[in-house]
Amino acid sequence: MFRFIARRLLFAVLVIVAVQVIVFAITHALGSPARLMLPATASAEQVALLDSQLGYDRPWWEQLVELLLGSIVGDFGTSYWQNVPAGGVVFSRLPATLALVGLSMALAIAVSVPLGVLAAMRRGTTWDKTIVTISLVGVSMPAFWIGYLLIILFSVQLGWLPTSGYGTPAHYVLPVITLAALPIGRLTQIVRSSMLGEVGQQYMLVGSSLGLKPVTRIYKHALKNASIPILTMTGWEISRLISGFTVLVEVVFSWPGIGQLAVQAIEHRDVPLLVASVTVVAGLIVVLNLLLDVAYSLLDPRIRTAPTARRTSKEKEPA
Amino acid sequence: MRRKATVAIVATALLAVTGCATTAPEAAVDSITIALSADPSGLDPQLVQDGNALAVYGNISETLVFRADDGELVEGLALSWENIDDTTWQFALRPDVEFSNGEPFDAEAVVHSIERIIDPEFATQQSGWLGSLSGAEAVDDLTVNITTSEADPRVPSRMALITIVPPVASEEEGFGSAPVGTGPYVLDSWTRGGDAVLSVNDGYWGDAPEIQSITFRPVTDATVRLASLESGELDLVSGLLPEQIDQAPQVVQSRGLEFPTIILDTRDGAFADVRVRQAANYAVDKQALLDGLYGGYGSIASCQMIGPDVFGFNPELEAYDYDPEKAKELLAEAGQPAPKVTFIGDATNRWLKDAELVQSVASYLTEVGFEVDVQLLDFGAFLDELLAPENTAETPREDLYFIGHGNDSADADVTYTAFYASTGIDSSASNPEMDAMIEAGRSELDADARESTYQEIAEIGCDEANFIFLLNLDNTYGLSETLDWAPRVDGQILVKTMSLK
Repeated sequence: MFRFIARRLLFAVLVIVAVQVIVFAITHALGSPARLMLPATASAEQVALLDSQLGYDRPWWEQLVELLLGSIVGDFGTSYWQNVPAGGVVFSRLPATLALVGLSMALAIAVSVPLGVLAAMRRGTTWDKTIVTISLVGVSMPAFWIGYLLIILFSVQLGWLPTSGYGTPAHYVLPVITLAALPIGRLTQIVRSSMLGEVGQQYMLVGSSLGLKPVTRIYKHALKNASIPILTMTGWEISRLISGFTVLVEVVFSWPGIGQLAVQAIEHRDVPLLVASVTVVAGLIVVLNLLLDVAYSLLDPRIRTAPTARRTSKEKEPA
Repeated sequence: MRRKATVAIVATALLAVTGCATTAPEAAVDSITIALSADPSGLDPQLVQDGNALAVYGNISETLVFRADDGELVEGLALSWENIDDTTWQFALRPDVEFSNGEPFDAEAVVHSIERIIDPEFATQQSGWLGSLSGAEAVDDLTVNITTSEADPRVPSRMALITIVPPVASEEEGFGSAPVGTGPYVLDSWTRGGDAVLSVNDGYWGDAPEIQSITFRPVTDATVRLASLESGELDLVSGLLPEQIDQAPQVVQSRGLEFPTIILDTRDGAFADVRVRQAANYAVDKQALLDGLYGGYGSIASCQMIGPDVFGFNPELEAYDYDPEKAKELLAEAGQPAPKVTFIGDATNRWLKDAELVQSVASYLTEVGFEVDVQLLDFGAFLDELLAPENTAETPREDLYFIGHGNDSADADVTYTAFYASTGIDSSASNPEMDAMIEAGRSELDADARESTYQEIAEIGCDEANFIFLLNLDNTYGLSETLDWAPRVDGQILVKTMSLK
């Protein structure tokens, strides 16, 4: 187990460094940040001056090495655009996105597991068809459209909730619902199809003949076995959301999160800020995947006790 | 039984959530909320070039010279100024003024402010406003000499842009997040990504403003800004699309500084011939563009890319008529009935409706015979192409380039240096006579002589038609029912002029 985690961590570090290098290369190649900060009537000399004051015109390898080394200790340099340490900006925006993603996924799981199970149990009935339709709608409707609709209905017409912003619990309601729509759609389908796969299995029949209650059969046994693909999908959705899919919702609701920050960093060609955002996000996703792998092995004993790849000569051959 | 419990739980949850909601407008009657289009990059009034930052710090910090609503330079923190020699301007300062943290406003503060902003280490993004400012010297407590390295008639108008900061507080680390100034409001708090809250400065030297407290809130989506205005959460919104603006409870507008213009490359290709350039000007129906794209909020530019509020404006000039027949005649005369041209625009909506404007102009040109290849580039690539140092006579840029020009210095020198001088950033002409006139205007200290120089430049420029002159867009704002405010030409949002009905 320990060796497994260590190997994964090493690989993760390599991935993060690769991501940093790629992002740095692309952003740097986009061109001068000073050009965008100064008004269009600024002269070429003024642009060059500001570029050198920002440190943009140093040799690229010097900047890259400085960024890579600095990122180990969390020092990503100074944001060109905001003139404050880039790492600080990213970490200050992180809670907002994490809260949004966390609550949305919690809502998504809380809604899609019962719905998916219901659809699987009552396959072919109106329940099933309705639920499948709902999940299709969730997958197909664009996030910003859902957002606008909710704002118009609940904020403008009814006045129950604020239109945008961040701060009170009321501010969370619409953004969380908007962001959860797509995961709900997808997860419901996954839950449904995984459950369908389990329900037909022999052990379910055995359980029924043993007199186990349906709730026990479904939630304790079938769902647990069906959970691996569900977990995979959940992890995938969370990764997608953290790595920037939240940007649509963050822009519509003026949510001060990382998605919005990364987009603005690109617009301003703010290399330190962008590398910082990407590094932090990549790090998060790596940790997430690691936790997922651990969760798999806990859920499925077969993974935990699988023989390791290398058999030593001392191991006994089965008789 | 379980179902009833579920319903009860859900109902309670809904009630709890709506109970926390802030729905009605702010508690205090005389406090307003203004929308920003994005989080300000910082609030140091001498550092950043950011309209959202300016909206906030413009109410906290002030300048030596103010601009009246009609664009005239009037007294601000300085009571008077005069040009005492070629490179020196003397400013007499207003007495009994303090920064809100108690530091005195005096000649020392002015000297410190000037030295801070011209310091290359400080790396201000406002460098375009500095010109040849070289320093400042205190003559006595209330008199200061501001010096330039060359004769510069624009010093007073520069002092309408350069903010005065307190010498002690501005050297502290957090000044960019907690600015201090002489203005009618002070900053109570600012959360990055969230609200900036200002309240009245009780020690303000001028008339006490009516609005007691302001909240600036970044609302990044235009549709949501409108929705927030309608729901009562916002009192003032700028940057609404022309189609949306009529849905606002109250609309106010003023003439603005923005001139969408198209640069024609005169050094090479179809537009080397003045008749072809004039044909392009006759080909476009500017009134239709104004009504169709901008809802009529604006006016037609009178053959120049500056307006009546800019020093150097020529009131005699008239726009090219919409005359497609004349355009075709001119093309035939020039021996080019079907010129092939490339038209570069910006794909990212940096200027209001610029992509649609480019497409519309291209179709007007096509109607009179041009063959237009429209390319919309990402803003970074667009700027790089437009402003590349390689844009010389030997390697000129593409035939047509869209640019939105806004002259916030209100002085024709800025516009003509950029657009008419042969080394100008937005210029694609080579006219030594014009260059000489622009040089002369830049250093001419007599205001009347300057004005007629610029007016002459405008006349020549109109005939030469190096540009397709289009429109002058209005500043439009959506207001709540209760807010009373007349907007300014320069687009500055000064809350001290607002009141509640």
